[in-house]
Amino acid sequence: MTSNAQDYPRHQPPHLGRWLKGAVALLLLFALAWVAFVALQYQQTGKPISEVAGIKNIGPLAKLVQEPPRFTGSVWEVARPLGVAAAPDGSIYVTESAGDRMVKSFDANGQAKASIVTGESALSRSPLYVAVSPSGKVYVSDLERHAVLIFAPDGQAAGQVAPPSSEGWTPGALAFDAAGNLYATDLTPGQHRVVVIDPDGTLLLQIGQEGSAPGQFEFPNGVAVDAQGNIYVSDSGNGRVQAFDKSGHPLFMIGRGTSKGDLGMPRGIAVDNGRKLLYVVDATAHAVNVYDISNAAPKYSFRLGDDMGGESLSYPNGVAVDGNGRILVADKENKRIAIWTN
Amino acid sequence: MKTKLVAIGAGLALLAIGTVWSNGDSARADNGPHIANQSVTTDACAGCHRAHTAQAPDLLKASETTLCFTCHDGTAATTMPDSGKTTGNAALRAGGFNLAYINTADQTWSRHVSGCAAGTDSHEYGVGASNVPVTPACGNNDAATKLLLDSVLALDATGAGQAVTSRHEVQTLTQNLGGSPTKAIYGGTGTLALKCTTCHDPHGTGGYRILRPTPLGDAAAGTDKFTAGVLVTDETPKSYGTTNYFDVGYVPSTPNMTTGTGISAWCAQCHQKYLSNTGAWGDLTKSGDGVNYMHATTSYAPSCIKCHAAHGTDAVISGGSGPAGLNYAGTLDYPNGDAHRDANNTRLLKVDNRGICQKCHKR
Ligand code: HEC
Ligand code: HEC
Ligand code: HEC
Ligand code: HEC
Ligand code: HEC
Ligand code: HEC
Repeated sequence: MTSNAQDYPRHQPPHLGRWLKGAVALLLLFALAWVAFVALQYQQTGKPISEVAGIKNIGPLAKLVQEPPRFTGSVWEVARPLGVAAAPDGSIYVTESAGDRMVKSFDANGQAKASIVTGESALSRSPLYVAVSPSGKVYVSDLERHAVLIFAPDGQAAGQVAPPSSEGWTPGALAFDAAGNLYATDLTPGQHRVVVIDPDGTLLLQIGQEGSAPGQFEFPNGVAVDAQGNIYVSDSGNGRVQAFDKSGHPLFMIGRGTSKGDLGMPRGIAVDNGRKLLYVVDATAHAVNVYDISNAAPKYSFRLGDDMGGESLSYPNGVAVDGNGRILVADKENKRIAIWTN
Repeated sequence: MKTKLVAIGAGLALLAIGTVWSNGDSARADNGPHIANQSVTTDACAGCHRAHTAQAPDLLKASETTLCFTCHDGTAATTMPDSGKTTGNAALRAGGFNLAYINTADQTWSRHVSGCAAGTDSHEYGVGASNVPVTPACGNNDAATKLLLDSVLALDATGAGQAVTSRHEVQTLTQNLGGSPTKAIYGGTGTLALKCTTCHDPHGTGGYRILRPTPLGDAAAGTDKFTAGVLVTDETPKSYGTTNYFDVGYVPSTPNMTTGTGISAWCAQCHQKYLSNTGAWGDLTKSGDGVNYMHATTSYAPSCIKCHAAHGTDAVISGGSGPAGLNYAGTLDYPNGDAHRDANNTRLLKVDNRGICQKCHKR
C-alpha cells in the first residue's frame, strides 16, 4: 500500500448534483413502471413478457455480438424427448424416451402428423435419436432394437441400416451430409466410436474408440456434419466436443470446465451452415451453448435457455437447426420441443 | 436446499483454487464419473454440478433421480436401473425399478461354484449336519451336506422384462406400487425419503456399488450399532466380468452382523431388526417393516441380497398353497399387526413364492 490516497479518492462518495439525483429518481421510476407492466402482463396472460405477442426483442439481449435468435414457442405432447430432427420441408421428428416411446412427427407449424413406431410395444422399443436424409427418409436409432430403422415420412417401415460390424452395434446419434452419407455414433459397450456409412451401406470411415484420450469417446451422444464435411462429435462421458475434418483428422476440442463456454454434459449437437454456428446442448447446464465456427478456433458466442430470453430448459438433450433458421431443442424434463427463431 | 447450494458453491470455489481432495495417486475409480478421492480438477465435477457466471451453482433443477437417469438410461451408462438391465441386455443383480429381468420362476437347487470346471461344481459350500461350515471343493458331492451357500441366482435376460411387483420405493418414480418413499423411522421419530443418493454416493466411495457407508437421512446415526458406517468392500480395481459380477462385494462367509462388515450389515442400518435375531421382533424398525420371517444372517448365513433384489423384483406370489398356518400369501398381515401392503407383495424376493429357500436347501 504505497500509493498516495490523494491520487485514488475512491473512499470518497461521488458528489451528486441535484440534477443527477433527479435523473436517478426518474430512472428508478421508469424501472418501477416497467416491472409493474411486466408483472401485469404476466398476471393477465400467464406468460413471461418475451412471449406476449406484439412485444418483441425487448431488453439488452438484442445487442450481443452475434444477434441471438428469439424464443418463439414450444411443441408439447412429447414424453421426455431425447432427439429431434427437422426435415427439408420443415417437418419435425421427435424421439420419446418415456410413455409410449414413439417417434412423434409434426408439420412445420407444429401440427401433429402420423407417429412412427420402432417396435411392437412400448417395452420392445426405445428410440434414441432421429435424423432425416436429404431424400426425406426418417432414420431412427433404437436401443432395444440395437438398430437404425428407416421409415418413410408417413411412418411406413423401410428396412434398416446394415450394422457396421458383424457382431451388431448399438447405434446412438445420427446425422446426414448433403450427399446422403449417414454419420452415426456407436455406443456398443467397449467400442464407442463414430462411423460414416454411405447410402449403399458401405462403411466409409470410422473414428476413434472407447476411452478418454484425444480422439477417443465415452458415450458420444451427438454428431453433426457441416457443409465442408467437418464432423463434430459430442463426447458426453468425457464432457467435451471433438471436431474432425472429413477424413477424421482432429481439428479442435471444446473441453469440460466451469468457465463461460466450457461444457459439462454435452449431448445433442447441430450446425447452422449459413451462420457458421455450432449448437451444443449441455444437459446439466440446462442450456445450449452456441459457438462461432467461422474460424479455425471455435469461439463461444451465446447460449440459449437458462439466462437467455427468460426461457429455461430442464435437462435438454437433442438439438436441430432447420432450413428456416429455427433452432429446435428437445427439452426433456419439460416434455416439449422449445423453438428459437433467427 | 440453500445450505446445500452454499456447500456446493463453497466446494466448487475451493476446487477452483485447487486445494481440496487432492491426493494424487491414491485416486480410486468407482466406474463412470463416480470417483472417490480423486485428484481433483474442476472438470471432474462439471458433469453434474454447474457454476457459471450468470447463475448460482446449479446442480439439480429437476430431482436427483433425474440426474441419475440422465446417464443411467443407456445414453451415458450401460446400467439401466429403471429397466433392470444393461444396454448389452444383461440382467442387473439389483433387479429394477420398473422392469426386472430376474428369472424368478427358477427354483432349482443352484449348483454353481465359480472356479470349478463344468460338471465338477461343488454343491457343498454350506453347513454340515453339525452346523460346521464346509469349505467348497470342486467335485465334492457329499449328500450329507444339506446347504449350498454360493448360490448364483440365475438371472434371465433372454425373456422380456417383467413389471416389478415390489421395490424400494424411490421418490419421483412414475409408478406407485402401494409403498411409499417416506417411512417412519426410529419408531416414528423421523422420516426417511428414499432417493438414489440415500443409498449411493455419486461421488464414489471405493466400496461396493458406491453404497454410502452410512445411508443418508439417518437423523439419529448416533444410536446405530455401526456408528462408523459399513463400507462394503469391492474388487480392486473395480472391474467385473461374467465370473465375478454376481459375487463381488458380499463375501458370504464374512461374519457381517457382528463386526459390521458386508452387505447384510449395510442393509441392517435401516432394517434394524436384523441386528438381533432374538430381539424385540414387534418393534417398528427404521424402514417401518413389520416382522414376519427372519433368516439367520450371522456367520455363514446368506446375505440379504442372495434372497432380495436391492432395487425391485418381478417375482410373483401366487397365494398360499401350504397347509394351514404355513400360508405365505402376500395378503397375510405382519405378525406385529401391521396390515399387509397389497395382495401380491413379493418383498423384493428373487424367486416366486418362497421358492428362494429351494435354491440352497435341497430337499
Ligand atoms: C455423478 C454426478 C456427480 C458428480 C460427478 C459430482 N457430484 Fe457432487 N453431488 C451430486 C449429487 C446428486 C449431490 C446431492 C446428493 C449428495 O449430497 O450426495 C451432490 C452433492 C454435492 C455436495 C453437497 C454435499 C452435501 O452433503 O450437501 C458437494 C459439496 C459436492 N457434491 C461436491 C462435488 C465435487 C467437489 C465434485 C467433483 C470432485 C462433485 N461433487 C462431483 C452429484 C455429483
Ligand atoms: C436407507 C434405508 C434403507 C436401506 C439401506 C435399505 N432399505 Fe429396504 N426398505 C427401506 C424402506 C424405507 C422400505 C419401505 C419401502 C416402501 O414402503 O415401499 C424398505 C423396504 C424393503 C423391503 C420390502 C419390505 C416389505 O414389507 O415389502 C425389503 C425386502 C427390503 N427393504 C430389503 C432391503 C435390503 C435387502 C437392503 C440392503 C440391500 C435394504 N433393504 C436396504 C429402507 C432401506
Ligand atoms: C435401498 C438402497 C438403494 C436405493 C434407494 C437405490 N439403490 Fe442402487 N443399488 C443398491 C444396492 C444394494 C446395489 C447392489 C445390488 C446387488 O449387487 O445385488 C445397487 C446397485 C445399483 C447399480 C449397479 C447395478 C449393477 O448391477 O451393476 C446401479 C447403477 C444403481 N444401483 C443405481 C441406482 C439408481 C439410479 C437409484 C435411484 C433410482 C438407486 N440405485 C437406488 C441399493 C440402492
Ligand atoms: C455422467 C453420467 C452419470 C451420472 C449423472 C450418474 N452416473 Fe452412475 N455411472 C455412470 C457410468 C458410466 C457408470 C459405470 C457403469 C455403467 O456403465 O453403467 C456408473 C456406475 C454407477 C454405479 C455402479 C458403481 C460401481 O461400483 O460399480 C452406481 C451404483 C451408480 N452409477 C449410481 C448412480 C447414481 C445413484 C446417480 C445419481 C446420483 C448416478 N449414478 C449418476 C454414469 C453416470
Ligand atoms: C434366506 C433368504 C433371506 C435372507 C438371507 C434375507 N431375507 Fe428378508 N425375507 C426373506 C423372505 C422369504 C421374506 C418374506 C417373509 C414373509 O413375507 O413371510 C423376507 C422379508 C423381508 C422383509 C419384509 C418384512 C418382513 O419381515 O416380512 C424385509 C424388510 C427383509 N426381508 C429384509 C432383509 C434384510 C435387511 C436382510 C439381510 C439382513 C434379509 N432380509 C435377509 C428371505 C430372506
Ligand atoms: C443362499 C442360500 C440359502 C437360502 C436361499 C436359504 N437358506 Fe436357510 N440356511 C442357509 C445356510 C448357509 C444356513 C446355515 C446358517 C448358519 O449356520 O449360520 C441356513 C440355515 C437354515 C435353517 C436352520 C436354522 C438356523 O437358523 O440355523 C433353517 C430353518 C433355514 N435355513 C430355513 C430357510 C428358509 C425357510 C429359507 C427360505 C426363506 C432359506 N432357509 C433359504 C442357506 C440358505
